[in-house]
Amino acid sequence: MSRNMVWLCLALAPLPMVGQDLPQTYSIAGTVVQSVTRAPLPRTRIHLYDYQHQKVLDSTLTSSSGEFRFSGLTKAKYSLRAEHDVYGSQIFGNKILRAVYGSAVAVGPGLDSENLVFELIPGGVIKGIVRDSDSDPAPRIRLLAYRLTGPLKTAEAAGFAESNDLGAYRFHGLPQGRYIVSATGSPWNADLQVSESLATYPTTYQPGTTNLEQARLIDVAPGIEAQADITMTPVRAVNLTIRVSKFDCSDRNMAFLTSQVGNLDIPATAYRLSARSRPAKDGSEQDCSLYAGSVTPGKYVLNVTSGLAQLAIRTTIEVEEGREVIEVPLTPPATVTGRLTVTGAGINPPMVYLRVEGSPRTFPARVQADGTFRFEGVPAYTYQVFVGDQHPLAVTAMYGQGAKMAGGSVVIPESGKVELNLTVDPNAQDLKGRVLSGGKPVAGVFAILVPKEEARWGVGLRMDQTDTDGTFRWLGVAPGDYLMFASAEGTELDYQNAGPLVEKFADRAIALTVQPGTNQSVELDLPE
Amino acid sequence: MWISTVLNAALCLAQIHSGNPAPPAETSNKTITVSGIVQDSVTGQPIRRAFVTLNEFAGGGQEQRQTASGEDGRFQFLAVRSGGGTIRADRLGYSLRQIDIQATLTSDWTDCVIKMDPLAAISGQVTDAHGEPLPGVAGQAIRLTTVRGFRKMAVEAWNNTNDLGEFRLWHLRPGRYLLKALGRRQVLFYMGERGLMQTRESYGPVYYPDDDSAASANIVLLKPGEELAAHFSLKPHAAFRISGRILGAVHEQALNATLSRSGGEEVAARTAINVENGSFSVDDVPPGDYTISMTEPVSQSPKSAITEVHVRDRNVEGVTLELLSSPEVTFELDGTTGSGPRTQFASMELHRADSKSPNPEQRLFFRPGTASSKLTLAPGRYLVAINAFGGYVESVTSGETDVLVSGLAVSSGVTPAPVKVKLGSGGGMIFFKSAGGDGPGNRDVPSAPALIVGPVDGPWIPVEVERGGRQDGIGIQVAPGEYFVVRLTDPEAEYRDKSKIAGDIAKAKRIKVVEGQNVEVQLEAEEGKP
Repeated sequence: MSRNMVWLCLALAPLPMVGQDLPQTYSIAGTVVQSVTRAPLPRTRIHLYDYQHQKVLDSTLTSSSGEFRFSGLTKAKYSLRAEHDVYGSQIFGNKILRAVYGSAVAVGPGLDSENLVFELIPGGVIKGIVRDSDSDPAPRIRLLAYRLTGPLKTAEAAGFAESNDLGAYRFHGLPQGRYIVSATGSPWNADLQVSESLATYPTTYQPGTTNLEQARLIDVAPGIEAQADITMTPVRAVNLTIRVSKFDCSDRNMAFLTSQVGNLDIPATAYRLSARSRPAKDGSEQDCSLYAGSVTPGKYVLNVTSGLAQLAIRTTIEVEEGREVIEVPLTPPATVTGRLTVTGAGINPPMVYLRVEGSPRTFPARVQADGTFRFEGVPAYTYQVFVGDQHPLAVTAMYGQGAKMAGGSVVIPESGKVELNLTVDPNAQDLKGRVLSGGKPVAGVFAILVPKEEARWGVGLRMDQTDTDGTFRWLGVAPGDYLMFASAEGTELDYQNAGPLVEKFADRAIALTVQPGTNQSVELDLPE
Repeated sequence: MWISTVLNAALCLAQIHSGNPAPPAETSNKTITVSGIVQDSVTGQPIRRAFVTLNEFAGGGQEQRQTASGEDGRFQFLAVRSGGGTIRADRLGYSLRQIDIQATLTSDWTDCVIKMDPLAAISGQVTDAHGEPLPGVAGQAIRLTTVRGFRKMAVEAWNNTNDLGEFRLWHLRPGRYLLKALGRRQVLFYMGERGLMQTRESYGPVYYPDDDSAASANIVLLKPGEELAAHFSLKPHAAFRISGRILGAVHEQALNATLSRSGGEEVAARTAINVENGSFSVDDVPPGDYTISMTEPVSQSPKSAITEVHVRDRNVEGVTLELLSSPEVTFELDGTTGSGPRTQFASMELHRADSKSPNPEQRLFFRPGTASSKLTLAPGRYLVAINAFGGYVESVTSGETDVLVSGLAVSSGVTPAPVKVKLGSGGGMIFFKSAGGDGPGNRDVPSAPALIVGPVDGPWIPVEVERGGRQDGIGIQVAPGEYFVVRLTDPEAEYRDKSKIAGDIAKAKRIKVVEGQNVEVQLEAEEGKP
């Protein structure tokens, strides 16, 4: 540098002002790639969100080489979302499509946030041809793909498809996992048959069985097409009449027969029942009869609603060939009453919720000043119990009678009185931690906290995916004894049964006792 | 995917036994065998597993029997009683076909051929400007037909593209179509905070191959059995969000939401409706003038809400949609003019402008002395076709609106002025006489050409002379004046629009009708018709 230049530089250099610090800014930058082919993805929209993923702060489009950059950021954590025409919307750090967890990007001194690889996961595909028993293509067959997240009873509906004139169907955008495919519909000539008994297709599981236990388990992986052809065999149907005693056939009634997989009703196999009044034999009150033509023999759940959304009857019935009339007594659904006890003083949570397991359907009840609450007309399902609104309080005890309770879930019967008492601990705290592997922070792995006491597994289990700096949070942890561990396979684990989980990770699980008000920070090691 | 199937009746000319005269039906206990083959009308190949239903007219009633065609397409019915009947063939992938069995048949009919028309299909592929597949785009086959001279454009089938950007529309009846790629259409019902994320681009509607408006788009002609491959390349447009609140919605109820451009053309959009508080958002909206409509699903009297929204260069917020009941519209006979002696009577059909079905939404009858009718009509535009008997239709009005010219527009929450029908008695009759006609009712003759009669002066309100069978001997009553008798070269012509049949009008006969007198119109025989 010449002397003149030096002088120029000195004049231009900002003079330090006493007492002022210019804020340091940082950048988030990286490349978006397809997670299987590793091909960079141009023209992908990237949105920058705050840490809570509530507010969009900025947006950009990836370059022709799939690169993006956000600059001028202050030290904080951010989250990213990508939007692609084919791969849809995915959050940075998602290990699997539609995952709840992602990894936030930590930005600050000493943190690397400019070499991110944002992987977009291609959906898995299940496709096939549906044929009838004469090997002709069967169109208009309605299919559902169920993803198994544990034993068969916990299948989640993941996709819907319909076969076309060639019998072809295709599920796409499926998260990886293990699936079963069910199919239902009628033969194309069902309405044309002159003879009395009408043909129908029973709920059939790929490759062609009506027995759920024999359904083929289909493995779905990102970007891979699994072939699953199905053969439908017709059976004779029943012209069904269901008589519900003393029930009023008012205008707004809706009645369905649905079959179930696990805890879920399968809407694709619902029979819509039409209600008609007929006078009772002794000429007194009217009997409400429900009619469905052409019902396939099998086990069903009868759902009758009066008014919208509130179920009045939910009961299992068996439809048998040759038995055309079924009498169903009107038994009112279960009532759930209980008392909420709050450990310590201070907080009075206003609401208790019962949420149908595996579904977003939730029933609320208001907590009275004396701590009691009451749910009227609760349909028979297995529920998870939540107390409080935005941040559910930790339920530390659940006891009562009239219903089976286990692991934070309560199984409400078809009718009767259920007593459900809950204890919550408002001294729940948020715990922070970090996962290290070989001494270095690890992003995108899972930190899991399991209560030692089996009765509290359902309500007390916590997990989180680590951010780019290896950190994680467990929210709303009640005081008590726990086991904690880290695992790379978080999304594949079966959280319905914490027992096998604890057994699996026994060798690395560490005991943790959480005291009220300590706000401790933990460190977990992930074996390499 | 929505499909509609329609009866496609045709005649299969049977061989009548020549020689012995046909014995009287009552004394015949003879039965015959009817057998034949079911064939694909395009390829000539036999059709296996067709459902063949025999309907015998016997002993004053009807009896049905069924069989299936074999692997060779052949079928057989034994012991068929004479007295006539029909044979109907159904097969997946084909239009239904029905043929007559002549009552005069006395010997075995062994070579009956039932030709079935295969249905058509369209395989589409949608890509963006870079050739990448576009999933989630709705492809629609919009069938163009006319009913009572009104153009009906109804979605015959639709399907969304899959991850490969492919869609398939199948079991399509032969006919004229517009093929449309509708952009990304999605409706989400949710609770709590999270609706849909806003996207900045949208893929506007495109009519195959590359038009953005229905008016100028190519008409796709689908023949029986045709497999059409259609490729669409969609370009993104800057898009915005319309948001607001729905009032009067029932908690947790699903609604049908549509976004349309002026003219009623549906535009794809992604709609999210919060079922708890009624707030909604519509995304993927390019700049333009729109109507948003939300309707309750089908029930006794579904409520609906419609509002206009103008989108320029930014999101539009604070839009209110109030769900209101469908109005009750009064229809009444507003008296008759003239002094004719005959009893007058009018029959009205109300067709929804956007309906898929050729059938009218409602039928009404008007007679002097009958009370008015009240109908609850779901919002939309209705087209009116009305025929008078023993008189003529002078006018159909609703307030200031001439309903015969403009149709009847019904909005939710607004009761239109009562629809008043005025009939005229007197006038004169126009009789139609065919060359060499031997009376109506001979079923062996194909339907007569489409004939309409319309006034030379004044608003163009044509009357259709009944189709089907011969028109020989049919008469219609009209007000005094000058008229065109128009023979339509295209039986599917949109004859309510004068400009669409200008050529036919130029060749039309012109007649004058005087009060109290009848006019006879000679119809020339057409080429090729008996």
